[in-house]
Amino acid sequence: MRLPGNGVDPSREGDRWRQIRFFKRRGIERIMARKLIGKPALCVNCRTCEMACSLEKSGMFNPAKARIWIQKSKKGLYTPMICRHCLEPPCEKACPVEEGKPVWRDKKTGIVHVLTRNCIGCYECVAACPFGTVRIDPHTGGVFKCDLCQGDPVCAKWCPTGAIQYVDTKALGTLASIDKI
Amino acid sequence: MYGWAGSLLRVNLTDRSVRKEEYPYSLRRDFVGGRGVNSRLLYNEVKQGIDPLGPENKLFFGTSPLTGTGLLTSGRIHVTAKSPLTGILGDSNAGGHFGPEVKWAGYDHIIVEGAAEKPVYLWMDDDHVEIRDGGHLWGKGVSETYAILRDELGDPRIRIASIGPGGENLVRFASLMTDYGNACGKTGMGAVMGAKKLKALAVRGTRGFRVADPERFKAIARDWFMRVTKSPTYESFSKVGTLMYLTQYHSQGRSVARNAQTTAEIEYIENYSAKSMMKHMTRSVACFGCPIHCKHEFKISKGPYAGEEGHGTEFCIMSAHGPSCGNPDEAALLKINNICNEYGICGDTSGIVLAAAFEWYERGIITKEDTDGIPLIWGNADAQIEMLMKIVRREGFGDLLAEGSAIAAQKIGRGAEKYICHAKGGDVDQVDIRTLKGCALSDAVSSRGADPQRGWPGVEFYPMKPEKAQRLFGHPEAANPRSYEGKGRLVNYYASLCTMCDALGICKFSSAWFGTSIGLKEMGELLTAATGLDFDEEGMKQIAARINNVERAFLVREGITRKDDTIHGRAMEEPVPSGPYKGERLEKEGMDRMLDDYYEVVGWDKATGAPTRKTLESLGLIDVAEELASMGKIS
Repeated sequence: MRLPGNGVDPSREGDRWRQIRFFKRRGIERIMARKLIGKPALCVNCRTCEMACSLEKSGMFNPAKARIWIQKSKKGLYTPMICRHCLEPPCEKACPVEEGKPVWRDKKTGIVHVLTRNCIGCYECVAACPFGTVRIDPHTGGVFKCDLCQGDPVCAKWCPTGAIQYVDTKALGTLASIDKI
Repeated sequence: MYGWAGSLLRVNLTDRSVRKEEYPYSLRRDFVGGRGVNSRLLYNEVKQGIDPLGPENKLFFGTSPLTGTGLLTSGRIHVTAKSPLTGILGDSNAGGHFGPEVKWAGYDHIIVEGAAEKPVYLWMDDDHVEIRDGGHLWGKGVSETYAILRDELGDPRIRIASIGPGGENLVRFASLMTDYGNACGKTGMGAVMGAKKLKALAVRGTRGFRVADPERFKAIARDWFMRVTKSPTYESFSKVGTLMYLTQYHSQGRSVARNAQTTAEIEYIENYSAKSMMKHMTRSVACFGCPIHCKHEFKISKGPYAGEEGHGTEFCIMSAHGPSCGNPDEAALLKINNICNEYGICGDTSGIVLAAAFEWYERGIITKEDTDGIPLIWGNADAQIEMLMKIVRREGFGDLLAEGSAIAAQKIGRGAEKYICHAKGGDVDQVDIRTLKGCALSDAVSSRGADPQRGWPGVEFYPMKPEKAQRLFGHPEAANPRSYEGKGRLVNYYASLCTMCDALGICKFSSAWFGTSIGLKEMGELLTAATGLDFDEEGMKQIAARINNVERAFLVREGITRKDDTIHGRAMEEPVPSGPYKGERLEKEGMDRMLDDYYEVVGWDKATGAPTRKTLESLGLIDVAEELASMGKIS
């Protein structure tokens, strides 16, 4: 039996061990306390988030430097493309550098970072990200991605419709089901 | 440089050259950007008496220091040229995402000169600018062009401004579309682009720009955001958008039906109510940076137009093709909206032209033989759509209507001119102008022909206490829609506001024109934070006056005088037939009084309507004064 929420039946001993192994194998201590989520149903494609992000991170208005962007899907939905800060980041896995990996996941905060130090510019991480949120800086050639603005993301603050929210991860499933429009 | 991107792009299609020029400091300080700089460049570079559809005409695309910032409604692009519809200054602006992308590519203004021999399109990838062959795009609709260009250039995030078959066929009110649902509709900028054989501009911008004081800019932008979202109109406007005016103006006795023959009693008005319109709408969509999101996407689920999808519906097109043409079917209107978008013609002007044709047909001025056998009977949506397609293709009777209502009426003769209503060739919009004297004055003196966006005094629509009007506009009767008194200052106030919105490239829906508390003072503060130069309220008023005067000088140079500053046709001759404003009309004598008042406020000569030398010199337009004096237009 699968239960909603964590997807694990606590009565089954094996699953508990498997869950612990999931954390252990990845060297993860706990999940992130809060998470940025995008709600396509509320997004109107005004791109205020892109502007707020690029001003915060690069000091200029330039969507090419924003860590977030709006995608129009084939169905016509506007989806905020936000870094999920995956537990097992494909960008980190794709990075071929072995010593001093430029893409790494902070074990304490859960934030996935990219650094220019040691980066060889192969853009494997860019291609590997399923959400397109590791991006190439057109001016410097380096890569950048969302770092959650030290835990206070400006995109969520500026979004006029509530399509981008910074929510408690433990309440994630329940929140999504309340305010569907 | 802060705020401005810092360069002008000059594209010559005749010799296929592309040049990047420095943006002169005096130009941007005195005219800011958008409509201001466009108008000044038009005055400087387009000579008197040229053919609007010839290669001598130039097309100016303008952004402003605020375009492409995170500020709300900062996504507009302003397009200016000599208009093929009115023969005077033509300009129009549109939202969407094209303007910001141009700015991020590093250009404040794009100047398109000359004309190509074969269809071309312009590809701007930051510094790389290329004139490319556009033969395969010619004849394609707007959304099709968009799709082809995105595939061809290999990036789904590029932005495009293009024309449809309407512009290619030189329909005089063809629109220039940005993305695929935002139109520079008025005054036929699409036809100018079509005459230059320029099918589209595609742009990708990754250069970006900085503002002088980001912290202060952010604080003010936040403040504006709160002012707009807390304003009383926000709630309904973000849900329904401008569509709510159809019923609102009707309840005020100001809506127009059957080419303004009746004004207050439209029996099928419920068809246009927010409730019945919204049932077709699937969701709201915003232009760049806009929390208001007033436009919609729609899908018709049943009836003869089932499956029709599109977006960009708004009041003017709905009213012009709806009640004005006697068309009670709101689903047919959405179909017409799609035709106008896809084929690139102005929905507003085309509706007004069709309404006039319907009335000429009713009165026997034209017959079935003239209209190629199409019965133009009120409410016949099929005939309306068929005629619209004929206009787009310039076939048969459509070829005549494609000249616009004023020229078509003149060509038809037989008293057809009595049943249209225009100022300087620009059609009067979808509100009964006879019930609003200040708006009539605004239309009469507007620099691009009758137009509400040139500063209709919005206070006339809602009751205001005489004491408040006295305090704000210097006359107790200023806000009274029936009175001719005190309108000069009132109209000048709103004209300045709208001029600065256009020059700053922001949407008028976020300004005091629309009932929020963002006026010239607030605009000046923000401009200061963005550019680092000093702009205060007085300075902003000066800039607005400078822009209005340079535009007026362009008109004067083209031969416009005081006698052109009036409304032609129905509104001056017939009284309102019914409703709360029954019997109300525009008196010639009253219009003259308002004109005198207005000329005095703005410092124009009361006999000729030209700006006086003193006015021009006080605004630093000495070269303009010299030129007009050498032509004998001013002393």
